[in-house]
Order: sequence, then structure tokens, then C-alpha cells
Amino acid sequence: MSAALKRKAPKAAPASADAPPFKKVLIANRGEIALRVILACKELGIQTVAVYSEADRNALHVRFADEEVCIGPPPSGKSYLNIPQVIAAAEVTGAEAIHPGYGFLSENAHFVEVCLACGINFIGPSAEIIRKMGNKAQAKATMQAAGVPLMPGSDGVIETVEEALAVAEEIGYPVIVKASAGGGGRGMRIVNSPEEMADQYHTARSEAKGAFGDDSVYMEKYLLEPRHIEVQIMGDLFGHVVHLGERECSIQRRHQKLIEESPSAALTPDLRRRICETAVRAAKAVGYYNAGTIEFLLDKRGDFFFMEMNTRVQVEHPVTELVTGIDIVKEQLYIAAGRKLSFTQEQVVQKGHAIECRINAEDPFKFTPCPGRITALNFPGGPGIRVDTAMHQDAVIPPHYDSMVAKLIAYGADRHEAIARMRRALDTLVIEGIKTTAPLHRRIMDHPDFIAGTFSTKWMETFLEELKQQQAAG
Amino acid sequence: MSTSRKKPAQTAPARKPAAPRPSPQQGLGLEEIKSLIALVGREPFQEFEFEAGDMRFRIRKDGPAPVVAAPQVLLSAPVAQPLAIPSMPTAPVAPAAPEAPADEPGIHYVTSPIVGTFYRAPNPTSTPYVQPGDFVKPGQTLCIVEAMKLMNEIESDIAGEVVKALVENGQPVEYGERLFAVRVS
Repeated sequence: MSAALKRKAPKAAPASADAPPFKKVLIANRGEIALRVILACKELGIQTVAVYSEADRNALHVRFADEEVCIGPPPSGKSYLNIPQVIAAAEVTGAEAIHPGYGFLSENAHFVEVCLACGINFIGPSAEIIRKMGNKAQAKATMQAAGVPLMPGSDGVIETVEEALAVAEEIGYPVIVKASAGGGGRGMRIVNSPEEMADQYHTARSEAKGAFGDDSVYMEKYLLEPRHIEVQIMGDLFGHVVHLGERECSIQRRHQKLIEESPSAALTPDLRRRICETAVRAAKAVGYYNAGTIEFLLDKRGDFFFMEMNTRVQVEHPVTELVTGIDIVKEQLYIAAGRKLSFTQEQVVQKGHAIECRINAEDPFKFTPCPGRITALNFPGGPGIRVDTAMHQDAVIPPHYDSMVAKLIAYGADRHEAIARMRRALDTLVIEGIKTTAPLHRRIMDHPDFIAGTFSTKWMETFLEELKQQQAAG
Repeated sequence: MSTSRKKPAQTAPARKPAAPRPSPQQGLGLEEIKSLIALVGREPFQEFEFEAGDMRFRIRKDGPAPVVAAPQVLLSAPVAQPLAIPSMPTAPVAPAAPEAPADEPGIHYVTSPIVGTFYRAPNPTSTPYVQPGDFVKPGQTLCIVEAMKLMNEIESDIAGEVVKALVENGQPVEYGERLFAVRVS
């Protein structure tokens, strides 16, 4: 298999201002995001190295990269999360930089340090920033110091049930207990009354321990009908930090986003300006550079609270790219190579409306994962449709990784047109052989609440309940 | 091996001379077919398929089916061309064959557990750990794979005779790549 590692000598970069930021970049990821980075590299004239596990031998990121290196067996702990293997792959191929994508090693401060020690450029912020923002309790302390509004809650880790009860009494029920090292909904428990506290507190701790190897938890007020609003940030090594507007990600199930859009139907121009400026202030407070996202919860009255910062490119970055016309991944590469941001805050203009539906290989109504082989495939096209995917005819979706098979993104002059395009895109999307969540998205696109833009992060629960009743009745 | 499909420019002109390949227009003469049969008999192939123009034939050896790692070989074909259009000729099969030799019964392949650079000797001036013809025991060091400045000694996982080193000294290897062929004793 040594031929898999054969490589051509890197082409000499033309000595001009448009010279590629790197000669060769290794992509430490798989699936659509690995492909997304490869496409950006191709446009910039950068050679690419794909790494893959034995389960991904057929994957498109492997096919479209200039070189590929098998780094281990299917379980991600032995391949995509295996730092020595990833670094060795960069060394044997002579890659100058590593793009981590999202998930896997993207927010692993230790990995960033290893890259640095090995003379490899990590495409993302520093280990120090990742560490600071990755620990939720520490991130909150940093944000508080910068004057960013925080959710009422504990001032750090809660050590005992008694302490939990005392804090909850102070901020008022309902409250939510969350893992300090957490994310993705694991290690989170809602407590409605003092009677529930002991059970929920202990469950949150053991879930946190199981999921992150760290059982420290903290507590926050639990907002009613909140919306998830996040702001895309980009910063360079010269201290410039700009925002690329907001994304509305309230359509989620168990804290997993299903639909994202930009701009949000809930923000007035004034609220938008305040929330985006707050995000820039938060990013500047940690000396942030490269792409990042600040997540806020917005309540009914227009108050917003810092939730967390993601120190990487987001799954939903395409909606921002479509409304701003800025290629976030290319900008990441330029920033990592030490170039200045290619635009100023004044040059960032949100134009039109974009919506993204995450198509997962899951039962659309029961959400049970559905790995398998795709037997027939047609992706929609036409005006205003973008599909980010790594799927192909006869692709096998391995059971080892996450279930997202495609991101369907619709752009229109306004929200109405974007929804209309998403509907017909979903109608012409064909994925056979596996179940996907596309039918669920199609129903959401027709729902009066979605059309009106009036939904909170709780909306999916109600909607799924509605569906159940309809099925029972029909 | 998948390199050939996507980087035609960099594929070295036939790493190992494959079976004689007449130009498609000519077809094969009797002599050429004879020499092909002889070649397949010598080489560790179990089966050989050839296609050129309208002509297509298959040579298959009798005897026990290959035991080791056969699924891997089978897998590699769809891997190479996941999007291949069914009507595409199967001609590339022939050049691919030398890279993934069909497994000979009794041959065990020692594979690399890590990504890195392959060295046959502990340092540039010393002799290789093993040479073809040497008998090795389980646990005996066969080579070094260097990764992140660390020299990782790769040990044999079987007892037998080293038939061949499959990677050139100083070349990069990936996870699961075959390093040595060992005839099981």
C-alpha cells in the first residue's frame, strides 16, 4: 500500500501577493467538513493530505485529496483522535499545517501544543485560548470580567447537593445543571423544584464523568422559550476581530441543531448590533484569532446571555458564507498563515437569507441512527441551493461516526424565498437505501410557526408531540 | 494503491513490470498467452484476469484458496473506484495487480501498526534487522517505523521465514501497510 503515500514534489509557490498561504495542508477530519476544507485548498492552490480510518477507505475526502494516509482502524479513538498517528502522517507527507475541521481534535488544546512542538501550523486559535474557552466555568469567568452578560447561575463548580440547593434558591427555579467540560447536551439536567435536585444533580455528575472524564458541574437559570443565537467571529494575529453577523439555531432536538439560518427573524437591527458587538468584545477579551463562534441565549424580553464559545469552524458556517459572501474556510487558512483579515467590519454586509437543514442518517421521527449503503442518490440544484456533503452513490455510512450525511443550504433574496427554495430542494432530494431526516425537515418548512419565525429551542419538543398525536389520530 | 486513479501525473511508469501488455488493437498471440500462463504460474497470484479491446481472459490456478487477508484484496477493488461507471473497462486491474499480490497460502504479512518512516536497520550504518531467507520468531524485531522522532521497533507476530521486505528503506508507511512477507513455519 506504499503507493498510497507516494507524493509529488510540492510546486514552487508563485512569488506574488496571491501566493497560496500554504504549500500543503493535512485535514485531520472526515466527511463533509474534510471535503469542504479540501475544496477551499484546491481554490487556493494548496496541496492536500487526507487521513482516514479503515472504515473510510472509499470516502470522497480520500478520493479528492492529493495524498492520503491510513491512520488506523475504524474507532475514532484509534484513528481520527489518535494524535501521534495524525502528526506522523503530517510528517511523512511534509504537510506544513493541519486543519482540524469540527469535532475530533478541533478543540483539543493538547493537540495544538503537539502541532506547535512539531513545527506544524494548527489552523485555529492557540492552545491557551482553546483551554480558556473550552472549560465552561473558566470561560464564564473570563466573559464576566469583559462585561459580557452571563446567565444567572453559580460562580463556578458546584461541589455538593446542599450548595446546589442554595444557588437554585437564589436564582429561582427552574435551573439547569451542566458539565463544566461539556457540550452536545450530555451532562445536562433540568431541575424544576428542590425535590428533584438530589437525583438530577447526581445524574448530571455521573453523565459528565462518563462523557468527559470530569464530573465537575455548574448551575444556571433555565430560561423559558429561549432562542439560540450565535455570532460568527473572525480575528487575525494582528488583533483585528470582526463579526460576520448572527445565526439563528433554535430548531434543535436534545441540544443538537437541526436547522440554522441567517439572519435571525427574532432580531431587530438594534438588538442585532448589540449582540454582535458584545460577541466582538468577548472575542477580544481572550485575544481571539481565527474563526470562532459565540453562542448566546436570547429570552422573550430581548435579554441575551453568553452561553459558550466554540473555537473552531461550525457545522452551520455555510449560512453565514451565503449571506456575507465571505469564504470562512479560506479566510481561516490565510489567518493561520499570518495574513491580515481580508475585510473590515464595514465591508461585512448581510444580504438575503440562508437556511441550512442537516440531513442525518436517522429515522426522521424516531431519530434512531440508520447506517447502511446508499443505493440511489440525487442532490438538488438550481438557483440558490448549496449541498455540502461527502456522500456518493453506493457510499456506506459506517456506524462509527456521526450520522450527518449532508447539509442542504438554501439562499434567497428574503426568508420567504429561502424557505420556498428549501422546500423544492427537499422535494428533489433523493437518498435511498437508508432513512434520513429529510421528511422531517420538509414538514417543518410547511409549519406556520416556522414560516412566521416564532419558535424557541423548545419548539421541536412541541412539534414532535404534535406529530405523534397526528399519527395516533390518522 | 489508490494513487494511480487520481494522480495519473505522478504515477511512476509501472513500478514493477506487469504482465506483458500488448496494444489493444493487436490482441494476443499464442506465444504471449503461453508466457502469461507461465508467469501466473510463477507469481503468487491465485487468479489473473486480463482485458484489452475485445479480448478478455482469465487464468485461475487450482489448489487451495488463499487463506490470509483475502477479504482485503477483494475490498481494494471497489475502494479504488467508488464512483466508477459500470461500463468502464476493467483494464486497470492488470497494472494494479503487482501492488496487491493475491495471497499465497502459507504466507503471513507483517503490517505496520503506525504511520511513519520505515527503516530496515537500527541506524544507517548497520545491517538490516532481517534479510530474506532469515527465520524469525514472534517478538523478534524486524524493522523500525519512525514517528514523531521516536523509533518504534516493529516485531514479528509469527514464526517463519522472511520471504521479502515489501517496503524500501526510508519510505513512508501508513497504518496497516504490509511490511514483510513471512512464510509460516
